[in-house]
Amino acid sequence: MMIPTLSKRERLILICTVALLFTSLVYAFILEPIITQWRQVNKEVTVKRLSLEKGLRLLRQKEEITQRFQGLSAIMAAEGGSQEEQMAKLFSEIETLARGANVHILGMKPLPVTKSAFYKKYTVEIDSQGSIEKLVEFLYKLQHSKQILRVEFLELNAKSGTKDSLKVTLLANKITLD
Amino acid sequence: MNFNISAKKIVTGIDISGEWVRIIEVEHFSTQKVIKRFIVKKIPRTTEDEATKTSQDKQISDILKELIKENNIDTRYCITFIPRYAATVRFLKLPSTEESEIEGMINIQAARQLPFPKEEIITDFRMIASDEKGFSDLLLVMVHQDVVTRHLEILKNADLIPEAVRISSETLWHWFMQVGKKQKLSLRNETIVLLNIDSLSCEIGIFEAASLVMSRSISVGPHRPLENWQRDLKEEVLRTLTAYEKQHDTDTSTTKIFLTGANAFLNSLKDVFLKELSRPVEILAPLQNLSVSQRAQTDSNSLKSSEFSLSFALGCALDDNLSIDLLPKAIKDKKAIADLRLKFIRTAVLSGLVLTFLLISLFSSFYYRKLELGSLKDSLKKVAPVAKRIEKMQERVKLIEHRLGPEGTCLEILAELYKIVPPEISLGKFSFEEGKSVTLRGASKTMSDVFKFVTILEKSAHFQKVKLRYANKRRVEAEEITDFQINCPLTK
Repeated sequence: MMIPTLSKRERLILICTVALLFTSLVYAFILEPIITQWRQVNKEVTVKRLSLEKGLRLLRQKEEITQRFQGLSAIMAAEGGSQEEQMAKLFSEIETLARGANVHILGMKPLPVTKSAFYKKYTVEIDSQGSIEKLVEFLYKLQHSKQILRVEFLELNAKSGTKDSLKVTLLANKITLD
Repeated sequence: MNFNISAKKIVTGIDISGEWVRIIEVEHFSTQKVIKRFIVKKIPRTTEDEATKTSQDKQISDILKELIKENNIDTRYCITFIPRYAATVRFLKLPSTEESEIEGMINIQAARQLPFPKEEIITDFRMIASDEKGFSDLLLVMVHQDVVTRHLEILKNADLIPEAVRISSETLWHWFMQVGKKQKLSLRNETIVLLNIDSLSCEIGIFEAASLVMSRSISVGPHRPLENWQRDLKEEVLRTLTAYEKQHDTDTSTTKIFLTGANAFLNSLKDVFLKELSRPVEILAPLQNLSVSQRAQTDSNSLKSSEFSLSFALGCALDDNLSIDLLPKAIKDKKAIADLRLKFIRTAVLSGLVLTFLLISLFSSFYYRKLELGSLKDSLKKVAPVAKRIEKMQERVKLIEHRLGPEGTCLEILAELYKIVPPEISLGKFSFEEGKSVTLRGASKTMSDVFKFVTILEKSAHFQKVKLRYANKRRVEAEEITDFQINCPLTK
């Protein structure tokens, strides 16, 4: 046998090397793959558990959500018509509201329609001018429109030379559900 | 690494010296040692005649074998000894405390002490004490290898492979230490003479401060064909004491003498010693104060009139860790390799078991995790379609409710500003980005008004981290005006 001919130090080094090699092999070919798989499964379990918890929570809230949904169903009832028709309806509504509030619309420009997961957003850029009271009335009417309009951008500039008149730029949008 | 799987170990002490075979089993527990049983049988008288030696040895082997078989003796860990009369024992003082150095000195001593080639002598030693000057007191045992080989051959023929071969003096000393401890003898301070009477010979041990300092074997015993053996023994004891007194420059007139061994003769011997030696004499029974099993207790009644000694075998079986071992070097080396191999195998097996256990627990845990995942997937499959539908519904509801609500609308912000803008501030530009920020540009008469305004804005619940972008002074028609721009991120 070779081992008895080795010195104590050499034998120790040999044993350490073999032990290290054995440990590395066990780690590389047995432990590491198991640990990787283990982690993967653990992660998957966590994700699935969270999804299930969320699902169950939604199931518990089913009645409440359904009731709220039914309450809003009249408002949310999908309006028919093409994008152009929707845009025309929006233009017409804004004009009507502006007229009602005595706000002078200088110009309106449609912006590209953006699509989300379950709705389309129609945005219009409006340039107008008027006194702050009238503008506020216009904004109020916009916000309480049947088409559920929302102002996402508003810029008010005091017009030089005039005391009460403001120059207004705003982006108003409406959505249609898919 | 030593793996003691069981806390209990049975050590069997075997004595084949003299006219009796004595086998003693002692159970070693972690806290105590219990004498399980002892078996004694008479054997043919040992002779030194070469012609009859072999047949006698065979007879002893056969008796041993038969006793072991009949009594189902545990022989996995047995220890035997070489009687004192077959070995040379020296008490030496050597000028070193290093074991390797002492070994070298002892090899030289052994060759000087015995008229045999060095290779034929088996030696071993025990360090009794060492002093500050660097000297060691040693018990050196030397024996011709033929004596040990013959002893081992007898055992081998009885299918016995001893773990160690001790010297009777040391086993006797150890037995006495055990009994003495239990009897609360003041072993540390006294000089004590112990006389072990066996059928064919007696062994004298002198103990000083709990250490064996002198040992002698005397071929005088109850069954020796000598008239008035007690008188002869008394003479030998006196001679030994005189020698001890000379060697140690001490007085033994009050030294206590303990008698043990062949019970049948001890009382009469005690009387003789008391009368003739004028020293205190006490008899020690072999099992005195030792932990003994029920069975051994019953058997011990037969010892009351015994004609033999059990002390050597008891000393062997009571301690498996005495230092003198007279096994030949070749056997010791072989045993060491076998021990190493066994330890390696044990370590490998245990490591394997640990690894297997770890892997099994890992795999089982992994398996249960997979099962859990499967069951989660199944549950999710049932829940997911409905949940998805509700989620969609919820998203729509949230969107519409958000659009219907006043929160974060430009009107709400304008209303807030109407409330909080102080009269000193004049706003020129208002810019609102839903959900992001409000930018205010304007002018005031003093710069401090601007900073005050910033503080007011910061206090509003609608804004957070309000930042003054700039505040510049300019002069208009001899009047100083401060222009400013403030950015107000909206609260989420």
